[in-house]
Amino acid sequence: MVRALRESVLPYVGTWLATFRSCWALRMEFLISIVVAFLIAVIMRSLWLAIHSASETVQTAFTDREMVSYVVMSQIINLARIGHTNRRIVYGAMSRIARGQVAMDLIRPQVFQLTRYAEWLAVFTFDALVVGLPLWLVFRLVGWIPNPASPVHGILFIVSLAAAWLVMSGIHYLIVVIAFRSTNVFGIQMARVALQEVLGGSLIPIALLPGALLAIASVLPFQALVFTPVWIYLGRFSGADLARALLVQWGWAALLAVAGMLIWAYVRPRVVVFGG
Amino acid sequence: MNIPAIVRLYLHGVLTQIKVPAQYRGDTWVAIVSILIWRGLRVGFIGIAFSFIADLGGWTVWEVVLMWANSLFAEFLVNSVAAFVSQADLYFYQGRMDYARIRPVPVMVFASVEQMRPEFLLSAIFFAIVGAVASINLGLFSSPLSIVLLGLAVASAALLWFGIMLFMSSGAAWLSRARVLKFGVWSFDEHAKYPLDILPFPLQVGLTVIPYAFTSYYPISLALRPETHIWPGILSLPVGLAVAAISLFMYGKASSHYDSLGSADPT
Amino acid sequence: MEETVRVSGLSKTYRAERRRPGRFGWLRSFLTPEYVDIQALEDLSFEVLPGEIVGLLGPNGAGKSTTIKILAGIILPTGGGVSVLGRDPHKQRIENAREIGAVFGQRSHLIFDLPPIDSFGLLRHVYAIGKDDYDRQMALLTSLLGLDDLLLQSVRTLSLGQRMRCEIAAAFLHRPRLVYLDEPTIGLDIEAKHAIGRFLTEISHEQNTTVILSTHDLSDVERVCPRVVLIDKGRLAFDGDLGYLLEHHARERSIQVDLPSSGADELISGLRRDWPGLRYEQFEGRFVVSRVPDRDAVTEVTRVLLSTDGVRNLRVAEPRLEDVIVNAFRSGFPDG
Repeated sequence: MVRALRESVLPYVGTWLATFRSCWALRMEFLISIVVAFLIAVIMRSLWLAIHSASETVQTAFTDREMVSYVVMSQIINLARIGHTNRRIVYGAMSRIARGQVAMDLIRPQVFQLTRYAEWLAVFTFDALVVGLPLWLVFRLVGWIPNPASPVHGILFIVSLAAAWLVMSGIHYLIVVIAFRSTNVFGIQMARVALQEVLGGSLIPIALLPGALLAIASVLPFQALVFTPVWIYLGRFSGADLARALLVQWGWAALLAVAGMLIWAYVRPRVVVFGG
Repeated sequence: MNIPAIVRLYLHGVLTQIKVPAQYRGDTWVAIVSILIWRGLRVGFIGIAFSFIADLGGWTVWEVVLMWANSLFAEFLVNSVAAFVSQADLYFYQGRMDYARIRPVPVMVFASVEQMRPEFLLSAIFFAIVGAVASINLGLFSSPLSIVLLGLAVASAALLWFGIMLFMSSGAAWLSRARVLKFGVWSFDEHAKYPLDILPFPLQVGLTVIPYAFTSYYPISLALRPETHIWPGILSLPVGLAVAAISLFMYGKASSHYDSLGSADPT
Repeated sequence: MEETVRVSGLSKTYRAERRRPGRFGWLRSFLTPEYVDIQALEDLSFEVLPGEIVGLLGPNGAGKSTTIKILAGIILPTGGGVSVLGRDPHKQRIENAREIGAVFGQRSHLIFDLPPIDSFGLLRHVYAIGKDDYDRQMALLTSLLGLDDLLLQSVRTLSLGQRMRCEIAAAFLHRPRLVYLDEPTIGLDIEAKHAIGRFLTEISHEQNTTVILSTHDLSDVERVCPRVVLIDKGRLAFDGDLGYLLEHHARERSIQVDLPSSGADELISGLRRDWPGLRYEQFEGRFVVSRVPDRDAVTEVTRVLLSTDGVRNLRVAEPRLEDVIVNAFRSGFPDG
């Protein structure tokens, strides 16, 4: 029983470790990521402060301090950034399927989907440690962001981040299995980043989206990526709202995982292994 | 090689590269739709931000859109006709240079034809339209001075993008360093096109030294308000020329490095 | 007759950066890089006449690719000179490029997502080939390389052998006077190798194309290249007739067989008596790997072995290139 469990878990730990090491090899990219994310956070802060000072609508939704906290936090945990610096890892599987090299993945005693999730967990944890945490410390020290609203909110923020990772992995996986025949990985990825940034809350607080877009954003999974965790961190959710937000997040995580499973089961027999 | 032959080669390159997405039926649509979503949402973002306010630090929505579109149009124009500049490192690193150097055309021409991507052209057209709409709304096409200044803005932005991209990609090859800086530059540039005067002073200086601001804010503010915003917009073209010249020097360095070393593996 | 290629006293030194050891080695190397010199070519000289098919032979890392890259004008030599069709290939790169073709076996010059015909069409414009010339050459290449079924099939779906035939066609599209093929047979099976060999012989005969074919495999050049230039560690080891090379420096062959369970010892001692130069090794009592002193003896030893009861799985192995090189160096440089 224990042995069976170990044998079924260990390969994914191995995948996680191997990917984590390749992230280490790409550490320069992550260092650049810190600088870029820092600068973008500063620019977004200026932009939103300028908007805030000129708009009563925005002023009723946020104080200027809250505005800055939201904008900066949303850049710290911006999951679009992760896909950005590491598209080689994140979409590596996709090009392997397209180029017929996926056979290597299929002969391993590992579930394709779980292996991908393990890879992306490695990228996520690496980014959180190397980019997110240092940025959080810097912005916390200059006072642009507060501590979590309460210890409970802090813990639930982590829980919510975990769900955000699962949702992100679910979206990546859907793209990988649906669009593997596409030569336009780049275009698809850019579309995803744009959707994610506008409807996920890292460019605009979702609460400020105009009516129609707000309706669209609230039925799409992107809001679970950035908006929900930041909103929890800032203590804007409480009681039933908080429970519902977490439930929606984890619901999306599960839904996307199942959808990925079903689609892969449909696609897999159609994967042609090319070349000789 | 004469100019008509190079133009013919380019046209044939575009025709060939268009077949790539067409090869995968649905893929053409995937490409078009994803680019429209990507680009449309960015325009949408500016629209949403401006739905709260009448102006951003004194700049109207169309003015901000024009700054943004000018830089992106120039960037994709350069990527369409000289795709090589952003891919030079690929040639120096992965040995593509070997095949490029046995062709009876300049390496830059051959590699740009080889690297041409229809989506760059599509993006360039998209931003040309966005820029034109903004210019019409701002009444820029009615004054000859504005038209000249707008032309200068496009030209200097194109020179700057040519320079910035070639500098980054061949600099990476010359120094034998990884392509990391390129990614940084690239993910940052989307955000470096807002009116400079709303940003903190250190960032204003930074975006002037790393001359992003010369691709959008400076030349466009000159075109919009020539009476008050002469400096440093008037320098955009010289700055563009200088950056392009420096990048060609850097490319020369990377190229002669390749002359003497070849690709990474001396076998 | 003026030679197509002249290589005189060619040398090439690479300066490679060496990463310092240790955890922060990457950082220290970044700040103060450390270099080592690698001598890739040393005083290499040979000439190639028009219409010749020359095999550039050598083990991995011998300097074959470097030689070809210098000849193609891709990189500069450190010392010595090359002249290709009367030109300096690096200084007059574009003029030179019009008349040469090349295949780098490790890389592709076909557009991966499109059928080869589209890559050919693009190359037609790169080389400014007229429509009639293009059609004529295409027809010839299609028939010689058997491309009929491949032209409209996406490159990504081609097998390695099929793809290589298309790569080679791409190099011959503009009727070059000289073609370099750098390790075009890596990973190919015997049948595909033979097809390429036949093609080279035919096209060279048909269009008087000069061909320089580099490989690390002796069997690639047999039947294709009457003349070989053998290089090792950047120096010339042999230049001349392939037959002479095989006759004088590749006499040794090895024969591998499964021996019968009884009578093996008598068989071996009998063979050693008749051929004193014969060497053998026995693995787990099942294999004998014999080194036979010369080619004539191979036939005789094989006949004896085959006529013995219980001998199975007989295989004659080609001489290894490393042995040939050692042999060629040991006996000095014949000028063939």
